[in-house]
Amino acid sequence: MIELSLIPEETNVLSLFRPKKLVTDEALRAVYDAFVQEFYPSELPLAKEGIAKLKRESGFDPEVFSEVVVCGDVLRREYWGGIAEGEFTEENLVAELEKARNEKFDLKEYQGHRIYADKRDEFWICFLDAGKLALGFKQMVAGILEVKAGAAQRIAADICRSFVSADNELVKMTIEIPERMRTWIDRKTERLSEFSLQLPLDMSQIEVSLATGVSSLRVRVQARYASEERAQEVVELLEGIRKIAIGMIKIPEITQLLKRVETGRSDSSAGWSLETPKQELIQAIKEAKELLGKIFK
Amino acid sequence: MSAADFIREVSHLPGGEAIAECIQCGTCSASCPNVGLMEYSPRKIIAMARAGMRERVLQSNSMWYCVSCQLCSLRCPKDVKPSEIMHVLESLSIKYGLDSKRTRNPAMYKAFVDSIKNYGRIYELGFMIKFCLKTNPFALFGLMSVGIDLFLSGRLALTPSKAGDTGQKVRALLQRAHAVKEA
Repeated sequence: MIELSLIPEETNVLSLFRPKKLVTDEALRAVYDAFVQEFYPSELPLAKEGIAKLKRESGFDPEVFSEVVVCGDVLRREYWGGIAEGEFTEENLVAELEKARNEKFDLKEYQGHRIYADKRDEFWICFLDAGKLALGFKQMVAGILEVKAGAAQRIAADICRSFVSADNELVKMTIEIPERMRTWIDRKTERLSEFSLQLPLDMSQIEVSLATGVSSLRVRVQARYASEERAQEVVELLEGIRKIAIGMIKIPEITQLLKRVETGRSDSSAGWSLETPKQELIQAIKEAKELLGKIFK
Repeated sequence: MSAADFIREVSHLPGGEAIAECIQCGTCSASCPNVGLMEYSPRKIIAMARAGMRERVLQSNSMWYCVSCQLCSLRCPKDVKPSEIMHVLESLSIKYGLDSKRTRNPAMYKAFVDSIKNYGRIYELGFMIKFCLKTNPFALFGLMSVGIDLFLSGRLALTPSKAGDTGQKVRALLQRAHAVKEA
């Protein structure tokens, strides 16, 4: 697991990806391929072609990276970056990236580290140790190096806590929602509140994770609210909606999925999880073509 | 390539025909809203092109900052159409692999054209993903709020639009155009 103590204090979004597992996971690949074949056979690439295309376009081979932590500030467009761990060498990776981007990086130095920067001095890469690198916008990479040198504060422990146990997840994302963003969400979802219901979007932190088993997928969402009462309200509201949907939707494969959703509350956090066998999900995608077609049109 | 060859190449492309007519009055540079971002002003880039400074012209960022507002073309007393010349220089710059790395516009143009070639129309999400992968993948995270905003307003589709065989037709059209050009 990547050392999160290098992430700068100003970060309010923290995500963990396991690219190597993501692209080699058979269950996930089968679900994605089923979706593409059913809905967009000629428009979207299948998993294998998509991964090859990603490698060709970006120069990053996902199979090389075992873990990537992406972090940033949700309110700042140019404060995003991450730390990646894997089996790569500095020379090979830089050569691959330069080839894909069709440009040579400029070499610089910052906090005693060698930096590879693009010609606009916007995108930085810095190799920290063997098999570990920091990359992203210049501001974020500089922040990581400053934390490493002890010249800046590290991220608060609160946002990192849930990552300690992130052993099996393929993707895990935690977002601390700043007040300004909550106001923005309120403004954007005004139209959706026409039924006098308070939408459950006033959370202060949200966590989303995706994990796979031998032949199953598990998605978990956990949201933290201002009080236990509010969390309970949200749980009851969404539970009601789920039950109404089970009664209304006439597609057995979809209702079966909805029945599998588990809801829970702990202190001021509300959580939902769905664990489903891969085959059941593929079947639901096939059977619910019309319904999903309306969602993804 | 000599100065004469370069100016001939520019003037033989659609939009570049009137480059020799420029009287260097500077009206185009005075009108351009983006001149402050350019390495060389429109007047200067035309003068340099005519002087045969091919590499310096094609490697500069000037033409990539032209937003085709057409103010220069509208005000040009000799009807030189500087904005059209800028686009000619852009295409030559890509053709010879000299496009400036100090601006992201060439990467954006290429991603845009690829999207048109693949789908027959622009698939915004795929286009932005491709553009960011080529320049800075982390920019995708920074653009999330704009993406959510567009999605909630019904302006951003998650998947490509199914426009029948438009993609194939556009590809055939482009192949035919290339064949005509080659001939």
